[in-house]
Amino acid sequence: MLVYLSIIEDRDEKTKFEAIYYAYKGLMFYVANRILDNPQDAEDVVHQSFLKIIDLLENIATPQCPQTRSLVVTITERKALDVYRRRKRRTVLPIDEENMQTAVPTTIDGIAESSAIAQAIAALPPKYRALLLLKYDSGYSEKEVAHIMGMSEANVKKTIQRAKAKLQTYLEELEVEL
Amino acid sequence: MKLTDELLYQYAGEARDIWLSTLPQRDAVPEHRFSRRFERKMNRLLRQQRRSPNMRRIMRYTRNAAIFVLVLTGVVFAGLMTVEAYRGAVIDVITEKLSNILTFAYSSPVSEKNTEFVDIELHYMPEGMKENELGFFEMSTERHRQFENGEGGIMELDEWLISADRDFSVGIVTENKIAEEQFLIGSEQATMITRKDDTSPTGIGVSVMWTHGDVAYAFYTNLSTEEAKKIVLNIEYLPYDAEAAKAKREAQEAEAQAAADSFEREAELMEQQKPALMEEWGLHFTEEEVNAAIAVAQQCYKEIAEAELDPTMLTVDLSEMEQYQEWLKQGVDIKYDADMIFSGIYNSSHKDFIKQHGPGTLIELVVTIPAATDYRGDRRITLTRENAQAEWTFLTEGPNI
Repeated sequence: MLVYLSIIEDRDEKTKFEAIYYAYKGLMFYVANRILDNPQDAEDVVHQSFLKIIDLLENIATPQCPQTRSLVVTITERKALDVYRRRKRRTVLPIDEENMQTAVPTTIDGIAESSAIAQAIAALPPKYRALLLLKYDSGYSEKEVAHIMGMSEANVKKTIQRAKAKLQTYLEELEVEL
Repeated sequence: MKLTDELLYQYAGEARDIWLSTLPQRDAVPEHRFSRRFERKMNRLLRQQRRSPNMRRIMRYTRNAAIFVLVLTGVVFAGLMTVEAYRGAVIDVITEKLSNILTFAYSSPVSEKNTEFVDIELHYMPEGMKENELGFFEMSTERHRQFENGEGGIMELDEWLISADRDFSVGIVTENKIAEEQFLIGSEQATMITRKDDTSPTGIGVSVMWTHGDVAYAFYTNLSTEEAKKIVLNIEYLPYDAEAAKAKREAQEAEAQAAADSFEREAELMEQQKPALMEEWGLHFTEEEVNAAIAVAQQCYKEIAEAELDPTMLTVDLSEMEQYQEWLKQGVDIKYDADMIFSGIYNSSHKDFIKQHGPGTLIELVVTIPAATDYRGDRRITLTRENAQAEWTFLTEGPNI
């Protein structure tokens, strides 16, 4: 192992940040713009998301891996939904995000055979899915999840409980045996 | 049966892959041409990241580090034992021996614009040692090289350009130090520290620090002390080639100029097309049409300001939302500026909307929130209508997840 330090560490960090920037900026814009349908707002969201990513850089081990992709998309999605709520006419706000679901493909290679539990998690509303993946896939503590999501730790715990309850209901509706 | 944490751990990875498969792969992400404003902001951010000294991280890693770098002033270390200063040809070096760190603080009276790297050649290279994939990495005031031999042996050479424009320090961790030796590289004093290192195939790590001309050098290897010394003593500083340096600088400037020219050409092309496109997109709205759009936008902002916050709604930062509402309650300024919005439409998918629905069906308004003095400046909002006679509504239709 290279026991060197800060200039290397420093270089790794900036290389990491630049690698993340160039690898994901297009995807981040895509994610933000499909929520906001407004390129300028979407660009702002991408910029804000990178500010958050800088804050989390130490927690990111590898720039290009599924966990980092998942984290980057989660952050962007959260920021975009935030902006959306501010812009949305009438309900400005109470968007019922908890009723939003991801359209999960069932026909692409490998997915059809995937487990019902995994499909149900993937189909959860964005906030629920994000919290479960950050905790159970990326292995972040609830405190770290709170920092990433900009929520209080208590709220994270409560929301994870809700996510589990919703997941349990899904699975019961699908008559999946656990 | 109850859903357990074990099941969630078991299936979360698969769930993540399923979810990510709903997004386009990198090559399939629709291309977006980011605005100049965005690129400017991100370039600033990237530059800031390059410069950030991040003292916290440095100190956290100190115990494990062989060498670390401080780019800051006025740091007071506890446990100072001795201070020694000596003068190099150009660079002043102050070494400080702390309880388990040896720091080298460099300074120079020479302005950065008058400093130059010199090319070097390593005439002795241990068997099998080759540049790894990180290889040679260069920025305006730093150069780094990494080599490895495929059997766990590594060596690294870092160079920092020292000038009057910034204070700069490098430290070597001396915890588990086995030996320290002073010797000369050419006419410059070098300090070599050998430490015990369990991660090294030889069980040691060797760091050598010295200066030459405008440059501070740090060499590290996990090979033997003898090899380390042999490598640094066989470095040749090539004569400064003013012509080559000039050619390199000119090539870089030419590249930057070409990029700027290309941008200029595109901007010119946009300007040439502007009158026809303004017509085609129906951006010459009557005062009545503009006022109608502004009225709709004003009403929307009023509703946002007066909306009752639902505590159960998912918001990342409720306090920010409240602040935002507070600002909005004090009113917003909304205006239409056809020249200003033209480039926004030109560079976005808005033109597709207009193509689909006809001229005069999309308008962008510039919104300023006077109370939000420290908030990001102008916002643009987009309103659309089904046809040129219909009423304006917001373009945003809602999350499409």
